[in-house]
Parts: sequence; structure tokens; C-alpha cells
Amino acid sequence: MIAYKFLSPGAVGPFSRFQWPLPVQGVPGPWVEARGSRWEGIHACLPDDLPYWLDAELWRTELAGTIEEVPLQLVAQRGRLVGRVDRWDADMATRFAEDCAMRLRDRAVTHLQAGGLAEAAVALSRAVDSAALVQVTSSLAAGVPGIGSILVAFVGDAAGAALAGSAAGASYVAARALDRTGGGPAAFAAERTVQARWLERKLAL
Amino acid sequence: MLKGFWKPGGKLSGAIRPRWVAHPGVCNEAAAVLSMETPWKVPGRGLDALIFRCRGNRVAAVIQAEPPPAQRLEEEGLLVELRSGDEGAFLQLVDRYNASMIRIARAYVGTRAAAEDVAQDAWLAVLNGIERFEGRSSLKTWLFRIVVNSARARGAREGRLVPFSALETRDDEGLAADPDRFHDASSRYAGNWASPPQPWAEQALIANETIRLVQAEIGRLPARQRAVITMRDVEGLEAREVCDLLGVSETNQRVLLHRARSQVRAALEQQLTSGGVP
Amino acid sequence: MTASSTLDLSCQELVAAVTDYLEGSLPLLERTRFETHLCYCPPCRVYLAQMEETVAVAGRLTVEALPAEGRDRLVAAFRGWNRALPGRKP
Repeated sequence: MIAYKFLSPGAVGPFSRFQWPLPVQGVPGPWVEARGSRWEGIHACLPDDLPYWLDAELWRTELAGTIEEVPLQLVAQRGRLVGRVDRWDADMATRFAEDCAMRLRDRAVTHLQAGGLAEAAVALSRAVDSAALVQVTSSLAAGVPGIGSILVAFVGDAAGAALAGSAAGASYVAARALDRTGGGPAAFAAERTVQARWLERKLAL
Repeated sequence: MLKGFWKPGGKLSGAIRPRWVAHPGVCNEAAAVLSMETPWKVPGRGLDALIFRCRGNRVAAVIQAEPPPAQRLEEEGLLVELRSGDEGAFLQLVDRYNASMIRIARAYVGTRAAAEDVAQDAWLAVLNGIERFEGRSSLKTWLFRIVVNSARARGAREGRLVPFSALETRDDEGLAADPDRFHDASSRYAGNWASPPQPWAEQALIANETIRLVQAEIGRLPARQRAVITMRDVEGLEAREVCDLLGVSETNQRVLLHRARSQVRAALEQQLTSGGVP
Repeated sequence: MTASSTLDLSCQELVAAVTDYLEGSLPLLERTRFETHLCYCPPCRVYLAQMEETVAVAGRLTVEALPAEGRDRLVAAFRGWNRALPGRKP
């Protein structure tokens, strides 16, 4: 079956630091199996779980042998790299991060409006990009009471991460923000699902 | 584990025999491997990959290979010579293991001099016990066991048994990291780094001062932590072996190792990020 | 401090679990939480690397040569042992 695997630059496993053998001219790379204390099996994930594993390179991976579905990933006896998902690059990562920040911003605006903080809501909604979000949130956060303040601060953090091109950072902040401001673990997971849908669509998985 | 004859950044030795090769339809016997292509080196971890050509198909296996049989055979040879009275064989073993034995002994006794005496005792015990060594454990494990016993015996003789029992309360000292380094409960990032660790320069890590610092810090650890980190990280013994030698459970061993390593890391951090070695 | 979600882990928890991770003794779910945390947390990647570097430096503690006097004592001990064995030539 085909699954997905994020790798560090140079097709290196982010945790094992294993240098994956590459496909050559459209031919999948050789099969790899792993045995050893920490690396039993080949790990990959389904599109649903992509946001949890973000890294520089995204690879289509074929898995074979016994395949186990565990939380957030698949563990297979064998795997091989089939091809790179070229659409996932630094630009796409930045756009993904910005989307996370903007959607969080939208949630914050809704929250502020519901709390009767119309001015703050308007100011926040006027920010056109991450840089503007960083600006407006730093001045707003102090003046907004309670949960709203935390939410606005998180928006600023997500925007800051997006500015730095950090997909993993921005997406984590967005999920954490919704968890910490009343949604709990269910909101965390739901945000990850929204993120996964975005990736699936934009990467045409 | 490849530890011992392969070091991070180095190349695989030619004496490796893979334990396991993978490809659908190909058997797992090393005999089926027709050729071995360039092995990859994997920095930092005991993990290597080799590409084999097997019945015309390229396969890659990520393996953890056994240490080369050569070393074990060579030591078996030395033991045979030793048993037949070859002084040169004895001295080769001494040269190879004495420093390690002193380090192990040092975890049990108070001074370097006492540790050297323990090692001397141990070598005598080795000679007296050499006929009984059956090779079921590695030679190194067997030697270390003798050292541990010698250390305990010396401590008992001198009426100063190093308290290796559960009375060693200093084991409880040392949190992994200062809680002040993390955001407190009131923060939106509660539990996450507030003052994060800064990466260390590679050159600093290979400097002699750094090695000496680690040595000194290990010397300052409580006895059981010192013993575990010495056996595991300095001497490269496996977790199981250390549990047997020290008579502690796997969980205990991990806890001791964790505390020891955390303490040494903290000392390194202090040195390397506050104007110590640049 | 515990993490927000059952699938998440705080940095403090990661630091406490780092040796278990390196030993391979974390159950799969814990390991998953550990690794997904690393994906978004550069400081924890630094911390993990530093633990590995600490182990690496410990592995390089140099072998000190046995001083001559110590060696002589061992040679004497060996010869005494050798002589005393039954069937040895004097």
C-alpha cells in the first residue's frame, strides 16, 4: 500500500538518521526493513496524520509485509520510497503555516466579537498577512481580557512561526491554541484534521 | 550493536556479517547474498544500511550487526595462550582492560589509588579463575564482574563497605532539568521550554578539556549513578549486563542512567554555553 | 506539567523521558508522542542531540597507561601464579 513519509533534507530519517535509498529514474528505491531496539519496522503515515510529522521532504512510500495501524502512523515490515511529493516545498510549507495562522485569527475574531470586543475584533481582522498579525497581536493582547488575550497571543505566535516558514511550529501553535482556550484535546485533534485536509487538497494526495 | 568497532562518522569494517537481509522472496541467509555494495555510514547512531545484490535484485537492509567475530576469536586465542602460561598474552589483556577495570572499581572505592589496588586484586582473581571461564558471557563482562566482586571484598575487608544498597540516598538527587527552565502553569506554554538549550559547537565537543570535564563530573556522581554511566557509556556494556553486574532491575538501571547523564549534560551545558570552551 | 492532548507531550515530559527513548524502552504510543513533539520543537531536538553528544563524549574517555610499577607487580603476580600451577615447567 502507498503511504507517506516526511524526511529531513537529503531523504534522511528524522529520528533514525537513516539515509533512505532513493528512487532512480522513476524506479522505486530498494526495499528497506528495519530491526533493532528502536527501529522495529518502517514507519509511515496516512494523509490524515501528515500534520503531526511535518518535515522538509514528503515522500510517497510503498509498504509491504505485515502493516500495523497504530495511533498517528503505520508500522510495516518493509518499505521503499516510490517518489517525492514535489509540491511540498518551502513555499508550500510557508503557505500552510500562514493558513494555520489566518484560520486561528478568524477564530480569535469570532471570539472577540462574541465577547463584545468589537474594536479588537476589527483590528485583528484587518491584518492582511503574518507580519501584520504579529504587529497587531502584540499591541492587542494586553488590552483584551481573559481567554481572548491568550487566543490573541497564540495568533501572534502562529503568525511569527509562519513568518519564519515554520510549518510545524505554526500548525502546532494553532492546535494548542484551540486546546488551551477551552476546546481541550478534541479541539487539538480537530484542528489537525483540518490541517490534514488542507495538505491533501493542496498536495493532490 | 555496531558500537565498539564502528564509531559515528567512521566506516563499516569489512568483517561485518549482516544478521538480516530483506526482500520479498529472498531468504534471510547471509549465504544468499552475492555481493555487498558500498555501505552507508549513518552518523550518530548505531544503525547502518547495506545494499546487497541478491539474485539480481538490489535490496537494502537496515541492520544491527554483531561485532566482528575476529575480535572474539582473537580473545579466545589469548585466553588459550594465557592458560598455557604465556606472559605476553596476559599483558595484552592487561593493557586492553586494566584502565576500564580501574574505572569500574572507582565507582566503588573512594580514591584512584584504591581503585588501582582493586584492579590488581581483580587480575589475581582472573588468573585464579581463568580455568573456570567458559565463555558464556563476554570476556569483558566476566572481567568486570570480578572487579565488582573484588571491590566489594576490599571494601568489606577494610570495614568500609561502599553502600551500594538501597541506602544510597544521593541517587535521588538531581532532577533532569531545572523547572525554572520551563514555563510555569500560568503560561500558555506551560511545560515547554522558557530558556531553551543552545546547540553546542562541534569543536568544543572534541576538545580535551571537554572530555576531562565529563570525566570529572562522572567522578562527582553518587556511586550507583557513577557505576551505571561508567559501565554503559564509558565502557559500552549493554543494559542487561550492567543490571546483572550491579544487581539492579532494568527500570532502576534506566533511572540511574538518566540521572547520571542528565547531570553530566548539565555540567557540559554550563561549561560550553557560558564562556568555557568556545 | 502535562501536555494538552493525549497525543501530545510537554517539553518537561520529554526531558524526563529522554533516556527511556534512547534506550528504546518507551511503549509505541509514548514514542509516538515523543517523536511528534520533536517535529515541532527545535529546542527539544537540541536537548536530545545534547544527550547523545554527552554519551559520545563519555565514550571517548581516554585509556590511561598502566604505570610501570603497576605493570611489574602484575608480571610478578603472573609468574607466581604460573609457577604454582601443577604441571608447569619451572
